[in-house]
Order: sequence, then structure tokens, then C-alpha cells
Amino acid sequence: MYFLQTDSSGISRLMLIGTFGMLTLAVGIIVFVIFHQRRVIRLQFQMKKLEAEKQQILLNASIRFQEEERQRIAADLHDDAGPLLATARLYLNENLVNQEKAQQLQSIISAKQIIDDAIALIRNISHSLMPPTLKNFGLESATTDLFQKISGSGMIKATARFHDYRERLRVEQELLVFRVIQELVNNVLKHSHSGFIHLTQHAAPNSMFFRIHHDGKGITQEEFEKLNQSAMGLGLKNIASRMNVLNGKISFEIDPTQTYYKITVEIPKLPMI
Amino acid sequence: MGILRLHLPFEFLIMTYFFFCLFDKKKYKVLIIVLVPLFFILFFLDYRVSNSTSLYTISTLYEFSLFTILILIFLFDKVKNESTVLIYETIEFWFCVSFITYFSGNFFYILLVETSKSATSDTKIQLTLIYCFVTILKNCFFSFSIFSKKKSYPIENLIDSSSNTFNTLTANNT
Repeated sequence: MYFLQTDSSGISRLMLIGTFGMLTLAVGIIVFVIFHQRRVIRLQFQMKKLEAEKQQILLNASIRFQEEERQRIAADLHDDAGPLLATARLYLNENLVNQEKAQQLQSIISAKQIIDDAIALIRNISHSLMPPTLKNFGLESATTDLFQKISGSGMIKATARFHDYRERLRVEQELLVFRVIQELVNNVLKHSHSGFIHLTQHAAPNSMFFRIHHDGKGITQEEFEKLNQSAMGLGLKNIASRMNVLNGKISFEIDPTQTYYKITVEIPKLPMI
Repeated sequence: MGILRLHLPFEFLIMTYFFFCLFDKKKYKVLIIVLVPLFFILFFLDYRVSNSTSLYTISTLYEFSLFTILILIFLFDKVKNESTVLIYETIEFWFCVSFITYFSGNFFYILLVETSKSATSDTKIQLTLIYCFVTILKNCFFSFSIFSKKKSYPIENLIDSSSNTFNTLTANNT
């Protein structure tokens, strides 16, 4: 080590410079560590804050959605079922016994018809809350049924195809997935003005994929995130909160040919209880 | 044949044990265990080569370098970890600061100690002064570590209290 073979003043200078250099380096590293950690902690807090705000938006959206749903049911019952039953009551009033037999029969038939209508109405409300096909036959049948009904309206061509649904999702997962599909289809029908809507299902070892294609005006992932953060897009927020519960992923894309949009929903498979 | 400087392996073992306890990750513990025998090999070589009045330079320098590197690893590992405790409010941090100051400050002193034997008394005084300065600095940091109190910042306290996000969330849940 040539640099060590030096005279007294050289040693002194070398040691001073060396020690100063090493100490400066050590202090520099310590200062860097302190400031960097402060920055990391600050960023963590900001991320947590954003996450909490997002959760709050989703929570508010789901509460608002619940309230709207309750209002809709209340309106259906009050405006439709209420008058029907009131009319039936009018037909079956106390004067019925004083009427002629033919008139009595006519009143009873009319009342029966009105009560049948009320039953059908209540059944419709009940089905809209919980589709019986989903409850009895599962997601595949309920989705296919939904798409057939949409296609049957003649407004849009709607098809659904399940490629591998031998291994079913859990009942509570199926309900949430069905609601997500319903909401997505509803959005497509309301906003996209598309000519067709097609749903496909595929299975992977650990997850289930549902993909919706349509040729109308759709949204991209960026727009979805933006709408999710804003006060608008209640339906989308509901989808996001349901996806949160499902621990799944949703992505909105436009085809490279720009001819159709696709929405992919990925749901993790959970072991059956 | 040099005198056996027993304090060096003793000091090395204590320090090694301290760092062994300091690290949580297994890979660093294994690294420490792997690097210990190398010190004893160097110590043995020093013992064979050095005369009675000389310091065991190679093993001491190895010890200094190893602990400096371990401290750096510890600090960077702490920075990477997701923690809500500020690093300078922990005792371990100030221990590490005092050691890194001591090791880096005295590195050149150990490196030049053999060469400086032939130096003038003025130079020797200067070297001793530098050594003393670094040692006092180390002891100051040690004392500082005693007074450091660990504080953790629960995240909810730091999330913009004006917006009351958490309160709103709790209210909505109830």
C-alpha cells in the first residue's frame, strides 16, 4: 500500500481527510435514511387517506342505492298494488249482499281479476328483488334467462354463453355476480345504443371470468376510475363496491379495432362450504 | 510472536450477537453466521504475523467494515419496511448511528496506526485527538439513545382530521 508509506505531515493529512470523508459519508447516509423514511411514511398516510376516501364514496353509494331501491319498492307498492287492492275492496263492499245475483257474480269476478293482477304485481316486485331462477337453478340459468328476456324485447340482440360452469361459485358470490352483470347490462342498454350484447364465461384454475362485449358507446378503465371518484355514476360505484366484496377485478377496455367494447369481470373461486 | 489481544474477539462476538438480535430477517442472520468464521481466520493470521507491540490491523479493519455494512443493511431495511414509527425515535437507530460514527471515524486511524509509529509526537497527538473526538461523538449518540422514546403514529390520527373521514365511516356503519 504505497499511500501508507508517507511522512508525518502526510499521515496527519491523510487521516484527517480520510476520517472527515468517512464521517461525512456516514452522516450523509443517516440523513438520507431519516428523510427518506419520513417521505415513505407520508406517502403511506396519503395512500391510506385516499383509500379511506374511496371506501367512503363506495359506502355512500351503496347506502344511496339501498335508499333508492327502497323508494322504488315503496312507490311500486303504493302506486300500483295499493290502488288495485282498494279497487278490489270497492267491488267487495257491504252493498254486495243487496245486489242481484248476476251483478254479485260480476263484482266477484272483477275483484278476483284485480286481486290476480295485484298478485302478479307483487310477484314481479319480489322477482326483481331476488330472481327465482337464480335462487333455484343458479347463475348460468339466471343469466341466460336475463339475456333471453332482453333479446325477446326485440330492441337488441343479446346472447349469453357459459363455457365451463361445472364448478359453480358460492351462492352469495353468484348473487353478487348476477347483480354486477345486471347492472352492466342495464348500463349498456341505457347508455351505449349498441346493436348486440354478448356475454361469455370461462373458468381458470383459481378464478372465473365473465366477459361482456357490445358494439355501442362504452367506457374505458380510465373513465371508470374517474366516474368512480366523482359524485356521478351510482351504478358503477355499486359495481365497484360489489367487486370489493367479491375480492374480484373488473376492467373496461376498447377493442384495438375500436369496433366494440369489452368488460371483463374476474372472480376468485372460493372453496364450497 | 504478538501478545494475544483477547478483547478483540470478545468485542466482536458481543457486537455480532447484538446485530444478530437486531435483524428480523433470516437471511441476514445467516449472513452474520457465515461471516463470523472469516474474522477468526483473520484474527489467527494477525496473531501469527504481528509482533508484540502491533495492533491486529487486518481483523480490526474487517470487524469495522463488516459492522458498517451491517448497519447500512439495517438502515436500508428499516426504510423499506412499512412502519409508522419514525426511525430516529428508536433506540436501535441511535445505537447504529453511534457505531457507524465510531467505525467510520476510526477506520483510517486503524489503517494508519502502524505507519504512524515512526511519526513525530505532534502527529501522534493529532491522531489521538481525532480518535478521542470520534469516541466522544459515539458516546454522545449512545447517551442520546437512552433518551429516545419510541412513538407510533396511528394512521387515523394523521389522516386529515378536518375531513373526519373515519368518523363519517363509523357513523355510516352504525
